[in-house]
Amino acid sequence: MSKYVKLTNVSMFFDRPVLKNIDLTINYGDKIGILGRNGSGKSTLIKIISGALRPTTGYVEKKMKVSWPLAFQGGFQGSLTGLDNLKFICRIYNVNWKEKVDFVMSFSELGEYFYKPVKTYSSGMRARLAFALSIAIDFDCYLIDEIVVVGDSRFHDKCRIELFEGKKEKSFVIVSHQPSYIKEFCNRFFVLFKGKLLEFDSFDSAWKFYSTQ
Amino acid sequence: MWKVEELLKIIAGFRIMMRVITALILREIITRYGRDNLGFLWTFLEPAMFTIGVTILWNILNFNKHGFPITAFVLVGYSSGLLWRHTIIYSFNAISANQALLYHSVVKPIDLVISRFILEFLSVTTAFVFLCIVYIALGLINPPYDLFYIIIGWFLMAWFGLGLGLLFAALSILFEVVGHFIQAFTYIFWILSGSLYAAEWLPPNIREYSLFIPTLTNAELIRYGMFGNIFTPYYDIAYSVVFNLVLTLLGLYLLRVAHYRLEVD
Repeated sequence: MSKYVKLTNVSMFFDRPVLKNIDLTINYGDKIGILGRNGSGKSTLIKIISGALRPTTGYVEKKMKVSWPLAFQGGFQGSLTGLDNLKFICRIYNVNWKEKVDFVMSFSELGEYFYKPVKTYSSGMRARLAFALSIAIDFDCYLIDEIVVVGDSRFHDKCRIELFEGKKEKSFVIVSHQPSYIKEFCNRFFVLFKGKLLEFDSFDSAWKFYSTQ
Repeated sequence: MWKVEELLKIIAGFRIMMRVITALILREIITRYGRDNLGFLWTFLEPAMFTIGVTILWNILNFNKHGFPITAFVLVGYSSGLLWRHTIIYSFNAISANQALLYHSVVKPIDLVISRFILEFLSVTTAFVFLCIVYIALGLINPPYDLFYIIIGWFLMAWFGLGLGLLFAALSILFEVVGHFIQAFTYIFWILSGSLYAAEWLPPNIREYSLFIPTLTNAELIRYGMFGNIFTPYYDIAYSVVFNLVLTLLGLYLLRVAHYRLEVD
């Protein structure tokens, strides 16, 4: 069975139209890069693909396992420990948490804080835990809303290796207002402009359009 | 073959839902009751304090002119009332408090409401059973007359709580103003609900209409199961079931509508 995510004629209105008639098919292995200015609806699009938001009109058909936005920390509950959060995530995605403890503990570099409530963490520790949890679960498609630089450059490199080398056969959807990762890792290039999603045949043509707007 | 495929899909969806609800319950237990088990103790202490307090008060005021054993009457009424009072309160902010979890595509708003309902149902029921046993052992109340009626009434009351929880969870998203009415609604309905009076006490012309309150049937069934023939119970099970069914379907429908209006940060 082929794996894909298909958005058909997706529109989203809040107090104003944010996304207009978006059609997008993400095939397994696609590395989708979407450039957009702040407020262009990038995050809304990611939320719709993840399922956190339902589009005002149109359909999202999911035929592969889609991640939550990478390194997203909103789901943390302050009184839960790092381990509790791991257990919760593993339970909802039907993964044996015992198999993931070692990975998450060593990757997040939390030490004994792994067993302490998240509210005692620094923002860097939260970010590391969030990142570790995101990649502990095996998805077909990873959603990335702006590459956030977590921790120092060494940790940053570690994330990059784990994600773009360790999972290089997977699909990615990266939305950003910066070119670097999109240029480096993507093979399909889009610009989100005035609520429309425009596809370009190369990074350069996408970037040319984006930077002259 | 089409039908088999559809069926398998529904079963798969149901299994995911069970898994998510279980995970949410386990998560909620830690956040609500804390790591030390003292938190859980309050579930028992709260109805215990209330029933003891009211028993003392009613005895002092000599309120007991209807021939019910006060302690048992208050225990049954208060505990069964919690089945819908708590679910309203907890389901009302179930979605806003946990909406970040909707980023996980397996988690749906209904899971957030149902997990809180199940947790509430289990804690209220456990507390009720526990207190009954303790009170019976201490000789404060008599053993129940017929468990069957208690169970029927209890489940109808819980179902009412679930329906109300789904409805209020949806309404809280659709109309923010609903939050301001919750307290007043809960208080007024608590008085009318039938938890604190028996239908027998009402004048016949009012009693005729009182069974339009679905919870009165549920409360009367529980009381009858508890006390037996010391009073005349009035109930309409069919009406209660239909009311719950309509409430649940309305709640489910509105929750679906509400998901489209949800603005997740």
